[in-house]
Amino acid sequence: MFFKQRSIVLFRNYESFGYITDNRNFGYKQSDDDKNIIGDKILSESGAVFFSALSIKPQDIDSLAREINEKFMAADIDTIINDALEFYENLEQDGFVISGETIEECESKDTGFLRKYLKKEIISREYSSSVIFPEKSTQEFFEEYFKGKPQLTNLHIEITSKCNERCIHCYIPHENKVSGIEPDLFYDILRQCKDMRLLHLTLSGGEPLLHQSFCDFLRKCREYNFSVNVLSNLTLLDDEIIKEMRANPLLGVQTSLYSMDSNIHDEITQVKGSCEKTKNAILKLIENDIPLQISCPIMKQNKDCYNEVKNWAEKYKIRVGDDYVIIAKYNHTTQNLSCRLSGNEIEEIINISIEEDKKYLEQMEMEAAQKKEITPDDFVCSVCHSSICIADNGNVYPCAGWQDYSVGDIRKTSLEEIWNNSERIQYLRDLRRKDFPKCVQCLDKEFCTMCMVRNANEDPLGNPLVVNEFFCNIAKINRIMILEWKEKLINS
Amino acid sequence: MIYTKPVVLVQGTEKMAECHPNSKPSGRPCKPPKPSGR
Repeated sequence: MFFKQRSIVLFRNYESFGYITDNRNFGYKQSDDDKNIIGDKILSESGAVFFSALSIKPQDIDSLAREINEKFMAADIDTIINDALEFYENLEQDGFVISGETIEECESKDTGFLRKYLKKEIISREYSSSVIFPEKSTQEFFEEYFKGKPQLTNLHIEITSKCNERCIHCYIPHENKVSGIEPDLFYDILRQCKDMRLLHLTLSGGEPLLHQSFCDFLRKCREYNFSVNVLSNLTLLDDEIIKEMRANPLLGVQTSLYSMDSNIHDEITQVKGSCEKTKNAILKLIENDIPLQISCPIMKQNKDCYNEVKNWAEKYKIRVGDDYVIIAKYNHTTQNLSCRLSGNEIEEIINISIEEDKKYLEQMEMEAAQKKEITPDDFVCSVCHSSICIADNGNVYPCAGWQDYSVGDIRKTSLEEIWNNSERIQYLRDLRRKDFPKCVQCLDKEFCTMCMVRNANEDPLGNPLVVNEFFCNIAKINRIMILEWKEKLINS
Repeated sequence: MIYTKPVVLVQGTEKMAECHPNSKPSGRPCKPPKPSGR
């Protein structure tokens, strides 16, 4: 019997326990079918040894048992084989391990990420393996183990600020799009991430494909078993990049397509011919089974045609993230907001969504109900709790959009030191919802998602505590729409 | 190392977040974490 680790699984060995997950929380959702969600698990100390013996290449049970036996010299090899068979088979039922009578069978069962979703392979949402502490969540386990100390799991690296497009809504001031990260600095950051047991990396720009070491960077991420998302306009996609992307089962791509009408898309990017290039590159990624999500921010320029992007993408089962939220540039100039929809226009967009998707309001109501559970002592967002951003010049920021608030410099201080001891990080980490008294008391709070960068960028002084009224209005619109819908339901 | 039978201690079934901290910030907020930061 042969066993292998499923290629979309991330494993981190903490010595006294092991952690396994897939890139569920990091990769892009391929469809609205939730049945493929695997989850995560904490393995016992010996479980971590058993799992770490596995690799992406299939190995027979006898060799695996011999490797495990080296760690447990006093244990009987037959006991190890029996326990390994039981342990691996349990993990296989939940999609973490793959078995086969032959190496070929084992490898053929490890289907790629996108194909898996297209085939709608069913993995039970209910776990099948037995668990020692069923009442505890993995989150609670980590909280107890690290005594509440935040763990960095997601890092956004802006590998270059240079860009070959000039999108009108971009939050990066165009005059700042000038430099790329030194490769040695990038590799040093990656080594530090490995030591910190980081799970996920986002590589963006500017346009990341402009960096001459882009393929080498991706290779290194694969070697370190990081889940990676690449945010790119794809206009520079070539065969070498596709080959490397294909080789990494933990990689996903996000690209922006604003309209199927090239005049409108190109008006937004301010680069003639960019629409055709991005569309063709999307088709190439589809052809190569590389996981992909399209982003389609809705602005004044594309509000009448963004739906065509959704319809086109649907044919290829590609998910489109459409969103009418645009933030100001991080230097607090607000010219880019001239393309942002007005309150009335957003109301129209929501009305269209309701007409097209009968469950839209139900979904909104459900989300609002979940937000009722949020307390004033809860965090505002993930920045400085599990995620952070490093720009190409080594400056560390709370998130990619928030680059006038440096929390450290990776060229002078280690990532771990910045994460644990930066005073600015500590300040942001200590902020709670109650620090936004207006929001805590707001009637519309269940229809709003608080975001400090959209406050900070639009405030001339960059204060994240100054609530951005534009989004207050959007929350109000949403609440009123729900109220009217419920009233109609009652009357009918 | 003393041998013990390998087991799963804890497992999670949390659903995938709709908002990812790995998106470019169009202003769509990140998923607020729970206290452990996971």
